[in-house]
Amino acid sequence: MGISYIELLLGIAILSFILLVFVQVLFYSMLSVKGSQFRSLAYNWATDRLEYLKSLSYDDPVLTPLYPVWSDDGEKELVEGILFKRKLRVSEITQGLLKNIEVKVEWTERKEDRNVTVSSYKANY
Amino acid sequence: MLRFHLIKQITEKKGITFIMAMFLFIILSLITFGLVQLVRYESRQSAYGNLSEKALYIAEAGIERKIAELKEDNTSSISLTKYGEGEFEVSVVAGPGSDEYTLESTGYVPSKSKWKARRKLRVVVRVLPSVPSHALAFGGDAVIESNVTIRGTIRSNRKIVIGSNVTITESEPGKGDASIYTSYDKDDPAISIGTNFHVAVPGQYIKSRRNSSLSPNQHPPYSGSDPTPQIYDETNIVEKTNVTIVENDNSSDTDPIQVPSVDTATLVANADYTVTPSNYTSIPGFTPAWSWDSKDNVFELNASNWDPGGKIYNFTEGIKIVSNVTFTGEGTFIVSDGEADYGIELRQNVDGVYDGYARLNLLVVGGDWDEYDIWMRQNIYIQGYIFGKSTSTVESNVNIKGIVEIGDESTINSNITIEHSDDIPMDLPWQQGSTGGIEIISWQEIKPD
Repeated sequence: MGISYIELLLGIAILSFILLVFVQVLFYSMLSVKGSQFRSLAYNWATDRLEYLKSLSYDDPVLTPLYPVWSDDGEKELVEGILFKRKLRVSEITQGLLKNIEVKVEWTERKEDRNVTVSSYKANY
Repeated sequence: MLRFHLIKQITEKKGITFIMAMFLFIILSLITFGLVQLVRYESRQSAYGNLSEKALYIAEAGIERKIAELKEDNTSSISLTKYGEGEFEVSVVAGPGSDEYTLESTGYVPSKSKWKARRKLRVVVRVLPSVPSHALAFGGDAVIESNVTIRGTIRSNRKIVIGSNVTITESEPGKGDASIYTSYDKDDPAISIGTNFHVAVPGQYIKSRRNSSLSPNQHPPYSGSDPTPQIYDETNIVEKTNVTIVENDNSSDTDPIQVPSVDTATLVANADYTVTPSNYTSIPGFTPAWSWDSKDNVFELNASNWDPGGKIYNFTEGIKIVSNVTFTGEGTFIVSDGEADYGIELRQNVDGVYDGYARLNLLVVGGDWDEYDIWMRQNIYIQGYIFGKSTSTVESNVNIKGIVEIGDESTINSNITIEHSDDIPMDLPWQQGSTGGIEIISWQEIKPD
């Protein structure tokens, strides 16, 4: 009659297992979402800068080729305790005619160094 | 009453906990599965958005590269090329208008064969003939004597001999145009550098062609002794860190140049006046400033002030600008024929009202001259384009802003400053070539094939 101890224990065990899996899935999903958000944020920050750099004149001092050096453009952003740093590298492919512009955003997430890089050519019209 | 009775019946059955647990398991599993799918979808969408944008940047890179190539007169398509995290390919079709090209660039991430994202751009551009980027260009041997300052790039198809205390620097701050290139293919030397040669800005090149089948020999200027004969003597370069030497260069920088850069046939055809000894008195404003010197066979400008009125004059004989003339307007003088000592002779103290400069284009495109096509003597200030089809000599204290091009041998003497400028008087018909500007007619994204 009623619920036996064995049934109770079995039920608790199954429920605990289900909850454990559920919590784990939730945890990793949240981390994944957060990582994806950080990556998108870094990517957008990099493309904003790339668009700005492409809008400058070909001979603008900001676009002075210093390849292979990555120069810090002085921009940093702190988002939810994570520091994002943006860097720039310009190389001249054909003198006076074509430059390669690369923008890299770096950050450290869960003790792992991460970065996104976007690049494009700029011609001297 | 009936519902309460049923619930009581069910909960009193053995094994009901297991069934309830299983029921809960299925519900939670479904929620978890849905959640995971949602997260995966969001991540994929975000990642795809980034990849798609990257593909667009790669397609744009293809367009930009083709535009740079069009400026070098290269109108061929670009085959599949790796760029960053992807690949691009660019097709080029002439049209729809004259001097126009339709460029279609497709960017793939990560590759064309296994693309996850791809974007395509169609851009129509017009190639504009434009002011050349060099300050000085020589079709023949060039001698640059001592104490000369060149503000801009020097190009030549032959030997360049640089005297002592010569300085080359950029035409304006940040422009970085202070290099020397020759397509000359001998090492006797191709570029001879005199003592105390100054290259005043960093990032410059001195390049010679010699043997383009060999690997380019790129190095900083030698100190102590110079073992390479093509560009010699590199030890005379004062600011060695500002220059990179390239011997056996095979880049487009040392391709032979086309001199003149102006389409002289079109310019002559568009002349407002053709000036001959028999008609010059009927040309508005010409007399009494101008006269015909039948003894020397030249037209002579002898007036303290004269306004060319923004016109193009095609002289069928040589011209002489005598001393102390101030030009109060801009104009273009072409000498297309004649026989005398000089095609164009500028004597002393020739200037203008534009910051002290005369805005003149001076071209000798024909004729037979005993001495030089162009002879500029002393204290001359000219802003414009200067071309002599064969030999020319520039004497002391001459200041030229613009472009100087000489078809054959020429000598640039002491105390001369030649500064490149895009601001050339009037609208000259520049030849199609490496320095044409590019105008974007349309820029749109289209669906990839």
